[in-house]
Amino acid sequence: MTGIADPLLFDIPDQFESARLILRVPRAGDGPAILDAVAESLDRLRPWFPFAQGEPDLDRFEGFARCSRIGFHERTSINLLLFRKSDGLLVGSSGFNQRLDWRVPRFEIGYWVRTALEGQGYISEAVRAETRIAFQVLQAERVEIRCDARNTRSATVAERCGYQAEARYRHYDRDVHGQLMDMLIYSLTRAGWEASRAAP
Amino acid sequence: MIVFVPDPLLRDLPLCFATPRLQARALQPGDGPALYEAVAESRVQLYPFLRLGLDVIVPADAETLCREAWAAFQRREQFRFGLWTAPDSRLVGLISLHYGDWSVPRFEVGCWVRASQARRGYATEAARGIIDYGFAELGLARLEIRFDHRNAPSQRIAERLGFRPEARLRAYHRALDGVLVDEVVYGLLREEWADGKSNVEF
Repeated sequence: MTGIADPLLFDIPDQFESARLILRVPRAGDGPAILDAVAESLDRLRPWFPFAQGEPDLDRFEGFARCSRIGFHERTSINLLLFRKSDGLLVGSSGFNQRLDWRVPRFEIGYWVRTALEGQGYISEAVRAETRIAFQVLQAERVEIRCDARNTRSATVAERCGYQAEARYRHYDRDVHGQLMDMLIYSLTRAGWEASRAAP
Repeated sequence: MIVFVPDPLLRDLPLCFATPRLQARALQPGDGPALYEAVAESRVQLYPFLRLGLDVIVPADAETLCREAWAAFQRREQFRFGLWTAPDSRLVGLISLHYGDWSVPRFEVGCWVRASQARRGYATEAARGIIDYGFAELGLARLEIRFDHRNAPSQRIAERLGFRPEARLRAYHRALDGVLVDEVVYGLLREEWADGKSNVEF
C-alpha cells in the first residue's frame, strides 16, 4: 500500500457500530445533544478542553456539528459522536481529528465522555472500534493517541486499548490555564495491531 | 484566553544574523537564481530526505519559493534564511524555523547545505545561530528537530547541539520515494540553552 492518493474519492461510511454504541459523524441539528452532554460534564472536561471553558454555548456546538460534517466530506477529519444503542443518549465524542495524513495513512484518535457515563468502558469500546475502522476501512498504517501527561485517565484508555507509549514531548503545548505542559504520544502500528489480533 | 506572545506580527525582528563563517539573511525576492544553482547541484543528495519544500525544478520555482518565504517571514509563520559565505557571497544552504505554534511558542529547526559544501560543519554552525535567534528574538519556549530515521547527519547535528531525544514515531511519514519511515523527534527547552550549547548533561 502506498497511501490514499485522493481521499475525496475514497468512500467512507458516516456511521459505524460497536457492541453498545453507534458512532456517527455529526450533522446539523446535533448541537443541543452535545450541549446537554457538555453542560453536565463541565467539571471533568474543563482541566483539559478549550471548548469546555466559559459558559456552554449552543451556537458553538451546533457550529462544531456542522463543521465536522464538512470536514468529513473534505476528508480533513472524521469526528464521531457516540450514541448509546439502548436509548440514543449521547455518550460523548471521539473520532479522528484533523491531525491525519492520508499519504501514510495515519490518524489520531481523541475522546471525551459524559460524566454520568464515566467508568463504564464506553470510551475504550469506542477507541477499539475506531482502531479497527482505521486499520480495516481507512487503510491506516499508524494510529495515534496523544494527551496531556497529567491526564492519567486518558493515558489509561490508550494503554488498555493496546497502544504503546512512544514519546513525551516536553513543553509542547499550553494547558487551559496557560501553563507549559508535556504531551504524551501513544501509537499502534498496523503490524502491532495485526499481532494483537493474532494473539490468543 | 491568556496571551503569552503579543501579536507576532507586531514584533520587530532582525532580518540577518551572523555566525563565525556565515551570514544568514532572510530569503527574499532576487535570491532565486542562487538558490536554483545550489539546489540543482545537490539534487541527488536532497532525495529522499527533503523536508524543506526544495522541490525546485526550474529557476522560476526557486524565485517563487524565495518570495513565498519572504511573505511567510513577514507573516511570522516561517523564518527561512539563506546562508552566505562572507568573502565570495556564495549561497551555502538554508536554515529555517518552521511548523511553529505561537501559543507555546515553539518552532522546528530545519537545515540544508548544498552538496559541494557538506561536511564542513556549516549546518551545526547555522543551527547554533538560529537557535539563539529563536530563543532571543522570538522568545520561544521550545525548539525541535525532526527527521526521517534514515537521516543520520541530522541526528548527529541534533546530538551535537544537545537536543534531547524524545521520540521515534513509527510509520509516521511516507517519504518521497514512497517508503514508510519513522520520524525521530529531538527537543530543546529554552532553559537548557546557553552559550551555543545545551547546558544539560544527559
